Amino acid sequence: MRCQICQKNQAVIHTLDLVEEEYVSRYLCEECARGEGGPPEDSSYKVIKFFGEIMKQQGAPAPLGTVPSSGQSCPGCGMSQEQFQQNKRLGCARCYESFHLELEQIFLRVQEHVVHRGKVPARPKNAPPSPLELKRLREHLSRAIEEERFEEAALYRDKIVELTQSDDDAQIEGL
Amino acid sequence: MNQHPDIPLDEWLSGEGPDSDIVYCTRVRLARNIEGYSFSPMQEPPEATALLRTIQQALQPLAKNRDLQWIDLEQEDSFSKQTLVERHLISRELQMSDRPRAVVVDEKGRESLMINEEDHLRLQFFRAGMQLQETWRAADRLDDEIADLLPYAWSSRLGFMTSCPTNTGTGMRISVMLHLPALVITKEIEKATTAIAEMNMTVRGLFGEGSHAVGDFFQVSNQRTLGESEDQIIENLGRAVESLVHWERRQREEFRKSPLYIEDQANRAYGVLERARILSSEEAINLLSRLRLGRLLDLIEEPSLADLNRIFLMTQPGHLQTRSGRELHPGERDRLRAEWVRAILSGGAEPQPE
Repeated sequence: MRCQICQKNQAVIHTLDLVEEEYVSRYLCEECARGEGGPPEDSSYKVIKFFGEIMKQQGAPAPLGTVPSSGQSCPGCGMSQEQFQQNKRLGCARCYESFHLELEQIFLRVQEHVVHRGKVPARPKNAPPSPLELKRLREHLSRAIEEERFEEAALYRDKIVELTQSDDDAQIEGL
Repeated sequence: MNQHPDIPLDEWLSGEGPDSDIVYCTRVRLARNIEGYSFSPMQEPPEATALLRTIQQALQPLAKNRDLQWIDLEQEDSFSKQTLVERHLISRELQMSDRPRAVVVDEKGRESLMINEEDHLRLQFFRAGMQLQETWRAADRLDDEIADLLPYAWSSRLGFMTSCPTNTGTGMRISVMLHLPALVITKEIEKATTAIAEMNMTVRGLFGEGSHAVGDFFQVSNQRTLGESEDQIIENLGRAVESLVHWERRQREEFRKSPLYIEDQANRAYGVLERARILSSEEAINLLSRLRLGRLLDLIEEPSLADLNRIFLMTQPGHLQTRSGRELHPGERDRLRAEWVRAILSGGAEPQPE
């Protein structure tokens, strides 16, 4: 995959930075990583392993807010980290957050990028908005507000309104 | 939806279609999950049953414009399931699973929807010959219709959420089945598969276990599902397959210039198939492959390609056993297989169950 900053060179370094109590993961080439104050010489897999180990040892807060740290089970389906590592299968959609770190390593190894560029499906007219998608949008919205990126925040707000307007507010809050 | 397991002979096995001298068929598989349910590996039987009923209920409108059969796999006997595997309508995983599960099959036997496989839904579309765009468009259309009826587990960052992370994103695996006897005979096949792997495509034998390919048949499919659009994936696969087709044709042209070896191989194969009283599955596939090459190079006049395809299908274990109405041990199968081959080649009557 390509470096997420220059979009030109091959990404060889995976960085995890603590921003606003949340881990932000990026894949960078050596040059850009140096510019970002990232690890200067180490190559990709060692760095990923290194950060993975540190996260485990310190029991650091996991990325994406309420997600359990490594070693715990997925709150959605109860799949344990050992089960996931053994079978390499996810137990539910929430596992994508629960095993976020392990997954990024798998994606880096077998996939072209870590961001979807394919089909966007419709949703049934009577279906409630996707809780996962709403959660993601709300996180983006609050981060954009905190960082005073108001134009971007407005886009997230509009998207959330669009997804939730046809539904009962009480139901949305309950999600 | 009707509940009837007797499926007509698949149109895509006709041996026709673009580039059908080399490309046997094109397949598109889409992996989808329904929001709010555990994925299959973490499902307890009651949840799996509830999901099966929800899906059956929700998909009713699909049957309006189509002739679909709902086959509850818990009700089917082992021959019937084996036959569905040999028709490529269900996977071995679905055949062997002990989960509540089903498959929906279209009237032509070239589209199927597996339910409670590794993912909640697996759409499979087959077309004869090389038809990447057509097969994808047909799958995409049904996928759109289902998305209007059931909420898919999908996120804008990761796309379709699948049970296995190697399917995440598009959830799409597009495969092309190829007959590459000239590359195998000239031992160019290893170079060819290495070149394809470098294009991030997977090549494996269509028959046989693991890396041991039987009968010069191969399957090429995309490795990646995340970070590329469906159209990009199809374009890249198309390029890889075209290069293989081109390579195989070039080798076949060489054989056309000095045909003795292939003429000999094809006639020997025909002789054995016509006369054999015991035929194992592996031997049959190898002989049929060489006979097919001779036929395509016009080095032998008989049999027709349609007959060859019919032999391929009818002599697989599940089909033999379904026709006999009972389980056959391998020795009996090999004898019956030889009978079937002789019957089709001579245009005679089908072997009758004893």
